[in-house]
Amino acid sequence: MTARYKVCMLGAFAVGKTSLVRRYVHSIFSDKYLTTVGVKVEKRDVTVGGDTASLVLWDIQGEDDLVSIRESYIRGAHGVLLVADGTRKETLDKALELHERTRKLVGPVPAVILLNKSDLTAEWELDDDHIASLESEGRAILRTSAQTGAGVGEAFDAIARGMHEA
Amino acid sequence: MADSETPRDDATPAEPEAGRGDEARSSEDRRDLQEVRRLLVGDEIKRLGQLEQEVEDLVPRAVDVGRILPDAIDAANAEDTARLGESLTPAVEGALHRSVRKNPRALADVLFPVLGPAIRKAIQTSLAGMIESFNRTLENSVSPSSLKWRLEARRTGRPFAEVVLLHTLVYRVEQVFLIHAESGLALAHAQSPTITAEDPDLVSAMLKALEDFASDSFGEGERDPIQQVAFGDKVLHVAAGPKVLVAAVVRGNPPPDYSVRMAEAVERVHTDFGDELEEFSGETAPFDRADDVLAALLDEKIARPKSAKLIMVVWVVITLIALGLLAWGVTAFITWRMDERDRRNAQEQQVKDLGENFGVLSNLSQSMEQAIAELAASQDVRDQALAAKAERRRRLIAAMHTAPGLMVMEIGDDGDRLLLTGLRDPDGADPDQVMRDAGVDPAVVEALWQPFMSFEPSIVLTRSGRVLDPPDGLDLAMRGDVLVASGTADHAWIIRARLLAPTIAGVSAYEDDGVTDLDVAALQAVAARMAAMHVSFPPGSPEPAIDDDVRMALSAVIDELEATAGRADRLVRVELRGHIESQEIGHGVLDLKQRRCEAVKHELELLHEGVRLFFVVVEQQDDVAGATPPAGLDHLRFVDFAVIDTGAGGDDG
Ligand SMILES: Nc1nc2c(ncn2[C@@H]2O[C@H](COP(=O)(O)OP(=O)(O)O)[C@@H](O)[C@H]2O)c(=O)[nH]1
Ligand SMILES: [Mg+2]
Repeated sequence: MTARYKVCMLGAFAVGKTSLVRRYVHSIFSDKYLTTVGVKVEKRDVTVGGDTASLVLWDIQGEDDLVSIRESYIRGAHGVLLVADGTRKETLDKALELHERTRKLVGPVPAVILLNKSDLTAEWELDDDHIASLESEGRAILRTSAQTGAGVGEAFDAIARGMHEA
Repeated sequence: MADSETPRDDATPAEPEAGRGDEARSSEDRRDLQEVRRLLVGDEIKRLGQLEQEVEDLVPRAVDVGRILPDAIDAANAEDTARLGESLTPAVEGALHRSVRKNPRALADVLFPVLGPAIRKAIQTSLAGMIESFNRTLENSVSPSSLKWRLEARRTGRPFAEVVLLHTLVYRVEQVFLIHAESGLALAHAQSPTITAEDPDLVSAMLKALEDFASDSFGEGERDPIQQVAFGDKVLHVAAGPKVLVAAVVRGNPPPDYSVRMAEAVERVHTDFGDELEEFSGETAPFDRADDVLAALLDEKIARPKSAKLIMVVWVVITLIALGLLAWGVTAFITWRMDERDRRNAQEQQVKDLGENFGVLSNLSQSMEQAIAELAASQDVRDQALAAKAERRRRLIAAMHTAPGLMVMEIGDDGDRLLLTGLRDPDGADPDQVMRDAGVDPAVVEALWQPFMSFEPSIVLTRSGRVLDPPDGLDLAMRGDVLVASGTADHAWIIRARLLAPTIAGVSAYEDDGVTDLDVAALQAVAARMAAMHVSFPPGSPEPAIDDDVRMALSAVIDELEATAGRADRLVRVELRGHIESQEIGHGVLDLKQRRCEAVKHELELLHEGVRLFFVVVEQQDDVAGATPPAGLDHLRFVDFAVIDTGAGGDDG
């Protein structure tokens, strides 16, 4: 089996999408693309369920008041990683909103919510009950830190597994 | 017929009308009149009623037909599209004609949004093609002479043809990607064996991202997809379809028809992989089958230099066309940008403007037409020359391929000349002759031949002939890698051939069982002649009755025997056999035979001092009873000879 999956990194500005991807793959493109075109593509081969697959990661420039995400970048995605910054509560709402929009564009593809910057425990703003209630709705949620690398591999493995089983 | 029908309820059709029309009359009058009518024109009334009915029925029937017509057309379409189309074509065509004649603007308005972009695109494409071919022309016209390339080849130690190739490479398609349009994932990928490729997944995705970016940023509605992205000294050419893109990384300028081929590849993939594309969810294995389609796009092209004069013409034409396009483009653009309300006015104004500008434009267009005609003519000549050159090259390669002992390694163009490097066996075909036979003038081919030894049987045979130099009457042939000789040859040649043949390149063994040794045969003939000779004796005498004629004859045959034995490298012995008559018995038979042989031997030895022949005396034992004299004698008093071959001789001396 030689599957290729398009995975979109989505989330608010400065939540750590680029850092997570950089932690996971060795970059070959310069970040210039990200600022000019608003997306940067990276790739990593993974083994999932005994098969090898290529994850083509689309690191899409964050959504803030000025820059909105190009929907065409999301089309054709087989999975999405929704990144939130645990030290900024509003970024989780943004991630959930982006999830909704993604679903409208590409249907119910596998999605994992990453609560990033888990190393910054002192400034953590997300409360556990809220997370638990989201999980009870059937959402996959993982804590990651692009700084320490904690949970990063697991996050990409989780989305790969999800797409492979889909 | 009408008579036989009894007018039964004749009133039915006429009655309503009669009832409505004659309200004022009394019913009696009415009945009478009716009766008279019936008698006079009964049948006609009935017919009239029927006709009236039919006319009235037509209206609801038309409504009914109108109701079912769309369904009927659908049904006919589903059953046989072509037939419905055929039946409708004349009517539709007629309607269109009439519409155009009545009000051409109506149709023009409908078609305007379709025709505009189509025309623009056509002009754009042909202009792009011209500029592309112009670039190539320029590139090649400054290409250095073959002498310079030759020097470079010597300096760098590279094969000449490789240098030529490097200098004349117009374009090379290094990689071709098949990209899923929606996700930007690489479905398949092909690359030229000579390059190190970028990761197809990343290139595909990045291209897709750029494409999306461009279409979001600059696109207004129906935007044409990106066709080219330049990076470094390469250009990514893109052909887009609804489900897939085909992208090619190209170094240099591909010919205009390359984009057509790419578009065809896109169409091909859509046809061949319709289902797979519909169901695609990441698994790319099914698209391995598309590798052939992609590989067919991996090509490269060698330059074909052109004359500088033509370049001037091309420049002039391009400039003129560009001016024309600019004028057209500006008006078209302005028109295009007008909103619906203003357009009509603008068009009228435009027609006026055009009329005013026509004087200038017509001059321009005349010179353009002339230039285009010139260009077309020279293009024709050039196309013909190119075709002839390609044909010449094809014929040359084919001829060289079949010619024995010639191997073409590389072939290239240098303007009007063909540059060729290859291997040549000196015993193979003459390359100049091969060229002439193929209808190629050797003067236009610059060939560099390296010597080599071919093991092709025909070449090995030629080589053997050259080395062995067989005499007339001897044939050489190859049986596999065995050299087979047959026919006749002198002894010395046979011996030499046995020594040399196995040393010839390509000959594994030598067979000469079928060769007759001419010298051995000659020796045998001389021996036979000698065996037929004899020397006779008087009765009872041991001294031969020998005269000079006999001596001469004997001497000659012995000379010959000696010579032929020497040539055949054989050792021979001449045996002498003594014979006596019965009357001589009693004179000491054995003694007399012996003495007669001794006498002849003495004679012969006198004739041939120190000869290599051995004369041996043999007494004939069985000559008395019933013996017959040899030819030419009437008695049995004689000595005759037998030549015995005692085997191969050693070296002479
Ligand atoms: N402490 C900490 N900082 C992080 C982490 N991930 C990203 N950052 C920082 O957050 C900032 C924004 O990160 P970036 O990857 O550019 O975010 P993006 O806009 O979502 O791509 C940078 O200064 C990063 O160094 C993390 O896990 N821990
Ligand atoms: Mg970023």
